[in-house]
Amino acid sequence: MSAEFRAALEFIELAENSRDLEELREALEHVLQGFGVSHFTLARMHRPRDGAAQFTVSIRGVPEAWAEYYWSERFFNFDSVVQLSLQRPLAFSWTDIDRSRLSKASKNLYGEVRDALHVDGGFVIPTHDENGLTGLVALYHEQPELAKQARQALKLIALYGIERANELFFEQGSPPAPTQCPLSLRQREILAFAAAGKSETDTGEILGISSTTVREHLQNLRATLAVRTKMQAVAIAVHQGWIKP
Amino acid sequence: MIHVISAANAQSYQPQLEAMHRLRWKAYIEERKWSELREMQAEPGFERDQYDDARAFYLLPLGDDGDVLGSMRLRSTVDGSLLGDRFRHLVDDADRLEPRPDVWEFTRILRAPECRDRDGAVRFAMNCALIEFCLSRGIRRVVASCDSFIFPTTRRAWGRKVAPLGLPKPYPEGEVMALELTPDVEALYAMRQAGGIREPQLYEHPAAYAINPISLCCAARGARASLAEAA
Repeated sequence: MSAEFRAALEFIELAENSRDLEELREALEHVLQGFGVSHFTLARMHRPRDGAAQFTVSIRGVPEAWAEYYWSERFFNFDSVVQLSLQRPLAFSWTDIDRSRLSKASKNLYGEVRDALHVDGGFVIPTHDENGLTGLVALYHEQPELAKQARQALKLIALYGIERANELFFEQGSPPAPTQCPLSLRQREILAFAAAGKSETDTGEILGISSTTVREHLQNLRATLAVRTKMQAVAIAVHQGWIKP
Repeated sequence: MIHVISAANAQSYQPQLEAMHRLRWKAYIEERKWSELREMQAEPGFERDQYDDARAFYLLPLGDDGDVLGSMRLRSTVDGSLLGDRFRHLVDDADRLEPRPDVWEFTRILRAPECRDRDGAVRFAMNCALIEFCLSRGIRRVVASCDSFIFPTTRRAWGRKVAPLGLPKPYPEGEVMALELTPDVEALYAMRQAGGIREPQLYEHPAAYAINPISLCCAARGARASLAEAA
């Protein structure tokens, strides 16, 4: 049996026997250390039957101060890792991302992550089912790249980790994730203009920004809400009371 | 109801078997765009492979009118398996693939697009039927290769009764992994609980039966239409 598969099976055993998310975090931390991963985050995509999809971090393996900074600045709105994870079910490393097509804010985020976590590489494992993204595990490591076998083992670990995190989240009887608006004030403004039938050019003129920036905001907020069209985003925002109809 | 179709009763299910092969073409050639599989096809619009032979069993969920809502193919590993013949590299421990009469492989598992709802009624019914089929024939393990995006729903349905046989591996159109299921009574109980299912799902019509199950479906449709008209 390969060492990587054995490590994955050991994690699966620990994960299956975890009684809560803290025990699952410990199991994850333990197995990831063996792959040279110093920091990690496990996030789940919760898709309630009625209402917006919610992207929530279930397990944090990063310094608390960094996690708070990331969420307070709403970095997930333009984090290319989140956006790429919504689109593709295969794992990717930071080096697989075409940086030339990223926004300035998104590029800057890489620098911030490097400085905050003292890492040189990142590996992201999105997991999908027939309905799309179910979650992701973001790994931060000192080596720029991970070996092929390690990548495959980490995919298996992520598949189990995310499913087990989902089970524990509901077994623990945790309250549903807060329905506070995940959009920034500017995104809500733009969405309100879209709801009023304004074009991207009109919205840009009203707000004093370019139509390209408006489009970028719309693209980011669609990714955040995990919807394909602007009108789907409007429908969710109105339903949740984030904008007025 | 999930119908068991084999060489013994295939004659009664010819339209459903054809519909199944069309459904498989749509799913694998058109939706997932498996190019290698496409090249192997002799008849466009119908997906078939070498394992669709007289030793294959199919579990087909059929609607009230006999329409095919999904498909699943089963065969004993003794009769040759896709995993053993072509995807051995997906399995870490070769012993798990040793052909045995009580180890079967299931392949070509899919649901029609209209049955891919989140409630998963057809999915749970198919899983229950699979376990019932295995229990009826003394099958202790079921092995499969599947796209890794199938794993989350499989894990949710089967819990600890599903185990990986190796690491996920990339292929041109995605990522594939090998799995093993334990279809025992515990699994059946849990599956019925999870799916809110109370009755057996498997319907096996022996070839010796005088009544064709499809004609029963048609009779039911006729009766329903008469009742609606009377109302």
